[in-house]
Amino acid sequence: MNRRVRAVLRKEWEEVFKNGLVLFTMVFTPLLFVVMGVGTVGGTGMATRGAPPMSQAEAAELRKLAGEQCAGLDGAACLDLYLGTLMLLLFMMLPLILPTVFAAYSVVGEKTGRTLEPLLATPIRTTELLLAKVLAAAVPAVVVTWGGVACYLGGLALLGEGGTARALLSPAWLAAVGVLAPLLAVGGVLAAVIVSSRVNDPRTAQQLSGVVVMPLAMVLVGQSMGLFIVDAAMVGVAVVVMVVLDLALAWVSVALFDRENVLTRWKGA
Amino acid sequence: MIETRRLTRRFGELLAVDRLDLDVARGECLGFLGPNGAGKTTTVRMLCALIAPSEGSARVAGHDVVREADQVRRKVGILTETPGLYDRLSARRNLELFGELYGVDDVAGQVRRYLALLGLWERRDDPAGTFSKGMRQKLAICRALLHEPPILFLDEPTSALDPEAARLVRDFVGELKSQGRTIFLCTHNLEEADQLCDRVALFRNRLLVVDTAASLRHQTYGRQVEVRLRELRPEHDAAVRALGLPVELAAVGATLRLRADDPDAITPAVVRALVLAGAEVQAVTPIEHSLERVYLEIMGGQP
Repeated sequence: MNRRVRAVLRKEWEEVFKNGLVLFTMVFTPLLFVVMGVGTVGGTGMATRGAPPMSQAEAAELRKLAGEQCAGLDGAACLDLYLGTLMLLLFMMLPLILPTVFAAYSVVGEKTGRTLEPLLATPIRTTELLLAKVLAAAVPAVVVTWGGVACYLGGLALLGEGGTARALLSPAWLAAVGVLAPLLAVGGVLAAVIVSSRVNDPRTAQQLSGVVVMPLAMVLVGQSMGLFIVDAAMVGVAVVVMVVLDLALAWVSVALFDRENVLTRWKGA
Repeated sequence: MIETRRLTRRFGELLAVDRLDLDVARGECLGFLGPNGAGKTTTVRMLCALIAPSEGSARVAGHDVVREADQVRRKVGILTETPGLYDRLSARRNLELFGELYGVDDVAGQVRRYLALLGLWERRDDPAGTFSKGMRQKLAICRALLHEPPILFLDEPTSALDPEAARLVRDFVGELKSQGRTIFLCTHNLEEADQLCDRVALFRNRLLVVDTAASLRHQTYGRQVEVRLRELRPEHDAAVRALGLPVELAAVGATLRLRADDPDAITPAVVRALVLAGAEVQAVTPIEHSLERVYLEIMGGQP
């Protein structure tokens, strides 16, 4: 990483983290997800412990929803794992939600503050500027996601759901959190950069960029309805799709972030 | 230091800059004057390698603005119309960022130097958002100078400033000029341009005229002298006309206005003739038309 990228990266973090709304979103959202996840899975686990076992019909219905992952598990353990994966899917939304908030303020903030022209008048290259913006938004989002998942799994272990936590550390979910989450974060930032070039209000940019969460929300709904199960193959396909999508979004963003475009075509720049 | 040849920029159907031919010498301060929407900012952006020309070429500090854009950006400092500061960052951090981006060797030293020079050192750790307009403008000037550019583009450096702050900024621009920097000054303040600039260019999408302010005055109004009398009588006027000098005469109340190519040569003869004709001469004053009047005269004649 060269001196110019480091300088912009440092500026981004100094500036955006002084924005109370961004800081609140970066801290509150993962905290909420941890409380929701641990509360739902841990609470269900505690409620089912000592309760009469599930009927055959109930267990069969649950297996239909949870699929292969419940092989060899009794009804209660299957329910915990099913809920655990649903909550983990919720955490996969963090790398999409958080960077869009960050990027919306970081890019639209440059426009409203009229700071882009002096910045573009320096010898910084478009790719360096964009790289700094993407890293500035994606790195904290990924770190917060990983931290949130760690807290979630740790919370489950503390509530006596260590088995569920260990089951969630499957290769598929490790790949999802370790590889797919950063790719989602980069895609989210690039989408926010593209949206930000057309709007002048950070909240509008944030709301429009929020649309990128929709596909993942549909996956969450699909899994909760038993339409499909997120497994290693699905994560593999998602990684490949995200690599291609990120490259395409990066290409569009570089074109949009070009000096000429920013100064002559960006709304309000 | 700055050479443009048929420099043109279009935005779709709109012709913002039309075949601009301009040369600015090293150490010269050029005032670039024109109404809003005349294409001044577009010209500055092309010369700072921020946007590309549609046609024509420009060289700044010996570098082509299209092919050697990076080198151009390293050699120019730009003060944009709005200061464009990061309000949440301190004055020091605003400057350190740009020092890093311009690849300045001793960033801390340069930041200290310019903050002290412009009287902002005591406020170095305060967020830029808490600064007054004048302080913000001074901070933006520091930013434009950090990498010691030989060429400065100043877009409305004193607009929206109170008279005291405007004077401070103007004095500092004067100092920069005395350091031998080339300055390209866009301004609506014609008095400022008259005070600071070696030459002025009047521009409205195309270059109308470029010359020294004195020469523009001379070309537009000729050189004029006003002779104020206690009372102007027909015989006084007749006495001057009888001299047969190459001079235009106009009477305004008790004042006789002389317009000539070289008033210094004819004024003594005119005064002598008036005194011999019985006139009581109270004052002889050369008339200095303001640059504003020249500007309005030239701009007024343009479509």
